[in-house]
Amino acid sequence: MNSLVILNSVIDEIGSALLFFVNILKTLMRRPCSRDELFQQIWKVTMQSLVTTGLAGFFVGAIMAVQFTLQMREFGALGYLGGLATSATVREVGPLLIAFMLAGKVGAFTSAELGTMRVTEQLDAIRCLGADPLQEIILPRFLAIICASFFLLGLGLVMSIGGGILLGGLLAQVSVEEYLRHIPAIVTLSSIANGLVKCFIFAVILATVCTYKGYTTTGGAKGVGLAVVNTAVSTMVGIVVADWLTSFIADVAIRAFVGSPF
Amino acid sequence: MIQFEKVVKRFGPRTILKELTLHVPAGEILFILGTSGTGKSVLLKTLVGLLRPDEGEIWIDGQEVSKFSEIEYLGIRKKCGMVFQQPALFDSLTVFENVAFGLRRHYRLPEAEIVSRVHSSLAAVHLPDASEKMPGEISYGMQKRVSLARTLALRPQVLLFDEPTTGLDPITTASVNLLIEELSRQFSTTSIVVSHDMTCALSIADRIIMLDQGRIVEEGSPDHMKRSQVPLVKEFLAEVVT
Amino acid sequence: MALSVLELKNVTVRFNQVGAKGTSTDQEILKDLSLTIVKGERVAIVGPSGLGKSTLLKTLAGLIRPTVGTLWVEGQNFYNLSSSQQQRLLVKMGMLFQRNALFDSMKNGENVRFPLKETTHKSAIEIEAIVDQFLAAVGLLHAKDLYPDEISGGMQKRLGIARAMALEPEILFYDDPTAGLDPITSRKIIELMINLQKQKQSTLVVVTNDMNRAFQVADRIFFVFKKDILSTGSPEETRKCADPRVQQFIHGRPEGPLTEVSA
Repeated sequence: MNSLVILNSVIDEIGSALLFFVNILKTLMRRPCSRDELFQQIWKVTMQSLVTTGLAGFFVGAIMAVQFTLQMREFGALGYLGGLATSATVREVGPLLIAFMLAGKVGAFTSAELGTMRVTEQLDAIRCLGADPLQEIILPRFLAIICASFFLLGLGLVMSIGGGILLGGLLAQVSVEEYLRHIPAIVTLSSIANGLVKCFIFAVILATVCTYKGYTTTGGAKGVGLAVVNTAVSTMVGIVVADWLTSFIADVAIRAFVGSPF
Repeated sequence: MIQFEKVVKRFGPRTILKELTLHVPAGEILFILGTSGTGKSVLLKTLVGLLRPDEGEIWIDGQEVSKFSEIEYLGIRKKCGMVFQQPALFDSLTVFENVAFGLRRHYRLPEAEIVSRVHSSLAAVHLPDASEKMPGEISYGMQKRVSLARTLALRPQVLLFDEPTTGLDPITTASVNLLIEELSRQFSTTSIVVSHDMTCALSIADRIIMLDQGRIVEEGSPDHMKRSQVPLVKEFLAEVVT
Repeated sequence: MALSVLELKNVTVRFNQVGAKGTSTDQEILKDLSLTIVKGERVAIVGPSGLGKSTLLKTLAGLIRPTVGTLWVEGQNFYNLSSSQQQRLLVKMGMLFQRNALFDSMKNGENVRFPLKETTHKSAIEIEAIVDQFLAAVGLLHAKDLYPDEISGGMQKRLGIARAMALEPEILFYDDPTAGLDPITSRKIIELMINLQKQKQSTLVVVTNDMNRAFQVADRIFFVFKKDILSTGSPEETRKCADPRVQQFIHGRPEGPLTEVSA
């Protein structure tokens, strides 16, 4: 009985989040937000996460290099180290990492900010002053998170190649040229597309969840706290599920069109 | 000017407004008093469409608005300016931009007109010099004044106040109260003040309504209220500062 | 001569405020003030917002250390004591914060039970009896198994009072216990506080900016104006006090010597 109630409320919550997402899209079609506000938000989101994403990217590259070195030394295929490590990062680890980073920083920040605006009646005040909070407040933040996640993905990948080169050099004595040589061959267009699509999907999930949670906050300061925690948890779960789904769908699609996963 | 006809509002199983009927003629200062949680704020929010009633009709200036869409409501919100309980200023904007916010959204006005309206609104709340400050730099009492100026800049026909003096010290209370009267008369607005301060109500209201559990239990002029035998009214009267 | 439980001697409190441009300025909140509170009395601290009422309360409660001057608790210089001696005195004090500071994740009963479990060595059965006794005293026994956010604001205040009182502190501090509540609920809450105080013979220090509540609760009233403090005596004496600032505040007149500060 109890678990049914919980399941029911979870489905309720997902449903209203989807409706909220549709509303944002409608607002985007009808009344786009001001460009200044959007650029300001993109700048803010990017700057907020620049250092952490860069650092994390660097260490992910380093970790990948270590892992692949251990495997590939067996086969004497160390020349492919750079290509494989980078491919794995682009396709899978990079987008996932960026999304988690953003969920922790920007997601939490955005839902806290919007939640505070909700409980101090600022959002009501905006409606009373003749503006649409979806258009003026939500939309720029929503779009900014999506745009910024691409910038951050780019940065994270560059840093991860840096980390890979460093560790590849230290651990496996793979030179910089050696490391970079096979990257163009192994990192195909399809794997870059794969990474970009994932990054986009994760960013949409994050942006929807954190604006939705912030916008629907109730109950004072502790409501804001709750919204922040819920944002973090829901986005992480959502992202992991979406990751599995996209990998699965991509796999099926590739099988259908190409015949076998390369 | 404003009519509520048998308005019912429910939140889940709880009924907040119970077939509330209320008429407010143009130019009146009406105080709605009651204990916490009797639906006073809900009443104001249903009026400007932040909440929608479950049953009944709301008439504003000859239009039945309760089924209006969000877009249609924009016109109503130009007419009905709401002053929130908390100042609800936008932290990232200067006082000037806070006051100009509604003007920029509701009307297409030349910048010079906006500037002059903002300055006249700030002057009306006795804050002529605060326009370049940030909300965080001024006292709470001043923030409340700015939020009043923000609503006033739209030149509304109706002013709605949600507990304007709750939590303020007696002196700030008195000055905010005085400001409400001054502005209502000066701009000849219809004003509805939701409050639990009988002292304020007696000193500036044309009419007072006592709300209990979503129903009107007593209404009349301040003089009528002073003589009322309704127990809740008598309890509120015991708090009056003389 | 009644026993003084709390005493401030020549206390000055300064806060180091970091300004918008990274500049730090010392802001003086209280300046060279002294006051004595005797055992079993009920004191109200009133005054315009933002002029140091809460700071004074927290200084009295040993939460803010004065920049200059001394705090004496039960005749001992508080900040000269070892931390274990300080702890022994602090246990005798209870504080109800402005925003209740209830534990949201605990049921109402647990909110009262928790500090008892932490600070006393009573058995579970004894503690349960105390919890029930104090919840009944504030009329919340029926809400024992609800959570704080499932009860109204007035009930939360009462729960906060029950939690503060359950430890049977000898000195109780209340920071604006009726803020934002309607006058009917406020009056009931003050009645409740006085009843419990009389039963336990404790000392009560209440901060408020509502004169009705101050008159209702206090034996003695203190006004906090800009940095300094004025003892105006009993409610009767306060009503007759000749100081124009006090008169302006009591009658809530918009014009007067305090107008500029509270603007």
